[in-house]
Amino acid sequence: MDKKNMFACVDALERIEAYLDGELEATEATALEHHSNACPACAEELAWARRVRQELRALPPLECPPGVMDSVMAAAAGPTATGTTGAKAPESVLPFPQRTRSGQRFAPWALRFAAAAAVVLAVLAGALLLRPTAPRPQYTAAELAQAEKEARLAFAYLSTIQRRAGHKIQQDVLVKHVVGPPQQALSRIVELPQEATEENL
Amino acid sequence: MVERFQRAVEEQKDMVYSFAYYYLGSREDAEDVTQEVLMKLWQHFRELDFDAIPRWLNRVTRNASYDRLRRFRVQRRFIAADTTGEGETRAADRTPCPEPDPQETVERKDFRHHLQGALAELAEPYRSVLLLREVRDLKYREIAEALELPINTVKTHVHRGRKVLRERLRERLGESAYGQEKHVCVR
Repeated sequence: MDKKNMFACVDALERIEAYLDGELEATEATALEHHSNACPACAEELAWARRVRQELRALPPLECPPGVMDSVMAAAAGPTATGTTGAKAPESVLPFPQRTRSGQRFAPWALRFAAAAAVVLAVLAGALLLRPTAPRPQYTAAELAQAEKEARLAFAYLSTIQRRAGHKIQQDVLVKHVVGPPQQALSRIVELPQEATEENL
Repeated sequence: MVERFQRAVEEQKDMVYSFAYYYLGSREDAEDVTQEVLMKLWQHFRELDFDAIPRWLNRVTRNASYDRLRRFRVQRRFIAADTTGEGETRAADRTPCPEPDPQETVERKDFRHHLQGALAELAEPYRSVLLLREVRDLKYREIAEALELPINTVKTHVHRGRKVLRERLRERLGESAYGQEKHVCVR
């Protein structure tokens, strides 16, 4: 018997995958074909393997739902993104909102952060609105100490929320956009001597 | 930079979503994984070569899908233990249901349905390597790079994975459905 016809079933079955990948030596491929021509069971297995592989390869590429793309691009093009200059690294961008299993998007850190900032600004706005226009008010030392204490508590609360949310917020961003403006406004009211710095947080 | 990122996302988002969908068998989970992966791409975009993005995404998408599946299994195991006391529920219980093509025959759709179910039953690393090899049509070298495995190991996994997949598919379809009779060795 010719050597190419010497394949046993076990030899043929072992080589089906490599045969389908086109990685068998020509002599081995021929031997496998000869064997499958003579062996209905191996021929059936080869046909089955070929069909499953073809069907796997025919699984269609799926279109990503537009909502996913929209939310990603909205976050990428957000206020902390920088366009084409690359002056600010993407790493400084706050994390994207995550989706719940039901599909609802949420960002607990953003909500809490915004709520805390709103509290601080509301207190500040109230102080500004209630401020007598003239003459400039005179505060006692106790009132100034109390105001400073409340401001520090508000900033500490803000910091705690940030930490609990588990997200790193850039300190310079926090100082520049959240802490700085109200503190500067507060300093105009009560004439606090110092500017907001990272050490004050 | 945002424009380049948008171009990369446009080119790759369907690949990421498709892999996650076929891996997890759930639109919802696939959407979550896709968003998570594209988020990571944005965070690392500046340090990546544009041409290297597809390779980077192969690895990150697979890992994110695997993490999602593992979390899901843990979650379902706890739920099952709480309610029925039985073991974990397989991801295959969430068999994918792709949009039906009216041109497809009923038999073809049924076969594809079972094929995806059998694929979702496969254990790792077979599921990953088969998806990357057969569905994504990657070369063995590219799969080895994505999974950080030797090429020969990947080949072994692919070959073994195909065999296991065929066995699972047989179980789903029944012996008569594909005409396979008991294998009688003739030589």
